[in-house]
Amino acid sequence: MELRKNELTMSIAAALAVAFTPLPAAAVDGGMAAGPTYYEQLVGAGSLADLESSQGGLPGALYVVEAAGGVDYQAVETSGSETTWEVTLEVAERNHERVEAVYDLVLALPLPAGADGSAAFEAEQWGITAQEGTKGASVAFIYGGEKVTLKRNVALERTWLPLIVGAEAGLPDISETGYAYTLWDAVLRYDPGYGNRLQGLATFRYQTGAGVVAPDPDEERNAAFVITWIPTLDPSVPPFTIRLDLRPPPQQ
Amino acid sequence: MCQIDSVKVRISRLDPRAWPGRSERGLHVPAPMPAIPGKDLGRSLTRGALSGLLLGIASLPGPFGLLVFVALVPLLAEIDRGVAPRRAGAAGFVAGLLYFAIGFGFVPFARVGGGLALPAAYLLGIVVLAAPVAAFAALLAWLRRFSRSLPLLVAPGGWIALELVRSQDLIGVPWLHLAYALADLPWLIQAASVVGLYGISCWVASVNSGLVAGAALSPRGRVLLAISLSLPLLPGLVGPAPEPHDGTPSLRVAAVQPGIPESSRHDRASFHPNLRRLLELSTRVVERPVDLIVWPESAYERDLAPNGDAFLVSIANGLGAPLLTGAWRFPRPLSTAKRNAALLVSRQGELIHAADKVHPVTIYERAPRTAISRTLARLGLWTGRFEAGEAASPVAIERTGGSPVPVGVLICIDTSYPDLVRELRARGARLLIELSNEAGTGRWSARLHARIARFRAVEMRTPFVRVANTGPTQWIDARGRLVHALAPGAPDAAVRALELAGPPPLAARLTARVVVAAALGFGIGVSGLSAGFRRRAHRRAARGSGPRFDLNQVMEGSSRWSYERMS
Repeated sequence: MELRKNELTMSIAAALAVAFTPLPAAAVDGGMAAGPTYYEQLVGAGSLADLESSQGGLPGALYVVEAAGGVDYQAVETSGSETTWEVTLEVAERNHERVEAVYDLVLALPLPAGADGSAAFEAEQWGITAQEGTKGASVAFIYGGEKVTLKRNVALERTWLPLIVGAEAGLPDISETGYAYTLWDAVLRYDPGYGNRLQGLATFRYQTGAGVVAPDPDEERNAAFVITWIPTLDPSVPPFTIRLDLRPPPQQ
Repeated sequence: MCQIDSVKVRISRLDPRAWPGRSERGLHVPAPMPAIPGKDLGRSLTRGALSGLLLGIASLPGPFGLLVFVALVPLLAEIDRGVAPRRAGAAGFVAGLLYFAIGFGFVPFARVGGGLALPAAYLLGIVVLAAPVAAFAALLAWLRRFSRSLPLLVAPGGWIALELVRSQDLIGVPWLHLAYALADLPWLIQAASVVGLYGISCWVASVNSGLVAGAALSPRGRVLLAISLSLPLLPGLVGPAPEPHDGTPSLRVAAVQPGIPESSRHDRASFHPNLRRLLELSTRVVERPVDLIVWPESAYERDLAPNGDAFLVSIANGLGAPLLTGAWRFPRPLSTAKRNAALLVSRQGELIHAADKVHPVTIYERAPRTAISRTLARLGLWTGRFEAGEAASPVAIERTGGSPVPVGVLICIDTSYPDLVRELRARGARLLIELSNEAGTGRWSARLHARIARFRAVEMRTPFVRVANTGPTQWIDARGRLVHALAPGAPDAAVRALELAGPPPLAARLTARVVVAAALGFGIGVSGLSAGFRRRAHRRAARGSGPRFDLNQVMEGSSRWSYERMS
């Protein structure tokens, strides 16, 4: 038992060391490089079980990397006092995690919010379905034999966002932008049959009142984040997160 | 029925003054029964063994349940023959040993707990459980001295008193009741919704008593006895009464049976593969509309801290329906003792504590609480580490297009405690769900549990879903009929809609103690009345008018055991 404790402590220390190593300046997106992925490095020659904790808990920090791709908000239709918006998220081809685990793929997506933080939008869809390919020529993203659809997780928003929004290694605080983070997630089982790299695309439509404006692409805080979390890991292990910068909406 | 002639010689030596005062008062009472000669000890033990064998076989999972109607006959017949209490006790002990040795035959082979704890508990347990059967037989033999009918009338109440006593926490063995042997034949046990578990056990024991008594009755008496003993069959022969519904009378329950072997359960290296299997099976069933997804006992293999578990909430969110799963939880901050619990993630993503196991299995599950159990734990003979929980209230499951449904949640053997289930029903439960795992104790024990679940459905007139890791997973309607079942052993999942329960039946308001007391009271009361009639008849006879009816005299007269015929 004592040995196990020591192993766990050492593993967590190793994990933290990897997590807080400054990123090489050139490596804007670590997922583009060949070699082990974030969780593969963490696990190393040991086993995932060494990094896991039997105590449930939420990480207070994220391991955020800049990723190729981006997010844009576009008003696609205005009728009377209502505007329909379409958000497009793109994740460029990148390595995908090959650690045998069950993952929670969480999308932190800023969406319009009232002054009190309550939602100021009405979703047209109950979920965000991931696609492969390019806009206009995409197919459903199938992983582990299933279509990947991220559903809004209000309970996770209630519990996790207060821990990570505004934290030093967390999500930027966007509370004064008229937007607030929403969390959408899907639990995925590692699919060993999937290739080494993946690429993704997703769109999401919602409606707002007429006064709502798109988030400002020049505001550095505005971004969406895709968090690849192995929830069974010790909460001190920051989940791997890619940042999708806000892009100006494409010209019609 | 009895070989009366062979003991006539000894009877003739009996001194009617052995019961001082009675002859002097002029009362006509039967003499104390003579001791059967020592050479018949083998016969008594053989009859006891035959009863034990029949009881044991009737309790096995298989088509032997009906044997329970005759299983006690050899032992009761031996007592009826008038053997000495000590000898009857020996026969009862042999009966109990065989009964429990066969009935709990799966225990030494169970792969739970480790070490010698279970084999030792098995050997000690069957002796401990057989001792009350010995006392039961000895008591009946002693009562036989007073009247022939008394032991046969007291036997049903006495037997269910034994069943009740061994179900209490001190012994903690709520299995192998006579009634459970009939659970796979639900049409036979519909009266359980009126008289409950102990009522049905009492009926079965009464049939055994009746078979012994019937041999000594007149043809008319036999017919009357047969009719009265058949009355509990009536509810099974009459169709169900229509039950009131609230417009949306069913709940679609998806049950997942992962079939994970005991060796890889709660093994950290297997956590992800096990969870994958649960998710794959769950994903398959949520393609259809579902009101609730249920995973088995401790299927979610993470210990839940008092502040909950976001991952479990995410899983339910992904599945798109409320998720009820077994898990181990720490009930208090900094607590080291765990509870075997059931957690519900609601449609709103709230993590709700649905139930704790109130009766962790002695030896291998319950943490040691007493000096003896702590000593056994130090010797490696007590491996349990869970604390007992408190009885819970039903949890509300939201339906699409209907009002929330109160659902009672039970964990594994808690289903074997009728009082717990009765409480859930009394608090409004309209569906019962049991989360179970018998991967370590094997299919035999799983089949026994499944029988108990089926019995509870009939007894509480409540639909019942039993979700077991290695099966059988079953959807049972409120009359005990199997709506659907998953084959034991194989990973599988399915969804079935079950009609919700109507108002609670009488059995939901009747406690076990009341039934036992009523049965004992009935036996003693009828026997007392019979004795009263007898005395009156004798007085009348002394005054010149003949007796009208005397159960004892009917029985004793026909077998030529009455004092007057022997003296």
